[in-house]
Amino acid sequence: MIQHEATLIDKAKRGNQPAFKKLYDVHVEPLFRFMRQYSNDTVQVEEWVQRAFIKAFNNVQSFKGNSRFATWLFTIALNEMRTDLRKPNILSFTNNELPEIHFLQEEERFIWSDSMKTLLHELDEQKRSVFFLYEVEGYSHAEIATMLNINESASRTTLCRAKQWLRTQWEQMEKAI
Amino acid sequence: MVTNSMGTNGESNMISQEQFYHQHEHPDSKSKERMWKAIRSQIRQPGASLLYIESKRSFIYGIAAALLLYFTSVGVYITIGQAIESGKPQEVRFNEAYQSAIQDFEKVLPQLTNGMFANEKERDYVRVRKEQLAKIDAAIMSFLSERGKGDVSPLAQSRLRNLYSMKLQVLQQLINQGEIEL
Repeated sequence: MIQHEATLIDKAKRGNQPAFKKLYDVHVEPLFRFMRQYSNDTVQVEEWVQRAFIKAFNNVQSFKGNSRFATWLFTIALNEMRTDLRKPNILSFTNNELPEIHFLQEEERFIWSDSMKTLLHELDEQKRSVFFLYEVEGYSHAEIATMLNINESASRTTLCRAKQWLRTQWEQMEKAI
Repeated sequence: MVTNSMGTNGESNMISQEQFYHQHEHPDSKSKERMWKAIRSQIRQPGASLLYIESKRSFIYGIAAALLLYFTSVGVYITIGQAIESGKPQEVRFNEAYQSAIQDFEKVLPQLTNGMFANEKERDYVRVRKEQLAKIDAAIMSFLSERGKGDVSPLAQSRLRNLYSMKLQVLQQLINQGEIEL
């Protein structure tokens, strides 16, 4: 955590709204674009982001600085999103479980292509989250495990399965073209 | 694979955020402003929570302090009146009146200060005032000791009364602090 951010968090803990606004300015964009990956409905995304910041401010006392503030904030936002996703008619998932995984093999075989992005939205929420958080946002498996309330091993497996599924789908798509 | 600089996960082959996130996926300035307005309306005002709790606490303690101060002051005036009306020499009567008043305030003070001075600033205030009281007490003891040795000069009496008066003021400030500041 950068020193400046730590100071802002301390101030926010004392109810300092301008300090919290600065935290908002720093984190709103990364959070929004991340949450945007779960919905095309910007109103819905705005709501998740708002709820995450409101909860973060109201519970900032419980933030002990053991993780990055962004990690904590993303976790809150993900929980908000997951709460909504459990409700019917918000989003549906594709059942894309694959039986066999070979970590190293998958690492070597997976090559990202921008055209895969459309496929990402067909991944179920957990695979999508792990993929975004690890491959795009750069979180470690330990951090992701905390954020998604899973263990590190599950995070690795989920990432591998996501990549495997993406690669397979993409190859089929390419062949069709 | 489109790559990024090394991420916090230690991987150097992360997907570039700049290329991964498309422009339309970023919030525009209006969206940011709209979200902040909604957030601001939902979060507590600066210090509102503390202010609320403290003002409520202040109100309760303020009433308690005011009542105690009122009854103590009534007691102090009655005691002073009784001491002055007694047939003792003037210096003795004034000393007794001050001592009695001080004792009455000292009886009240722990009830007011116990648990009231919750934050560091308030505790510092009490600590400084208590140090002042200790110094005044030491000076009073010194004067009383001199008086015991036969020094009953008007100057010594006047200084002693000043010390009593100072002690009363400090005690009252402490009590008022509980009433006003919290």
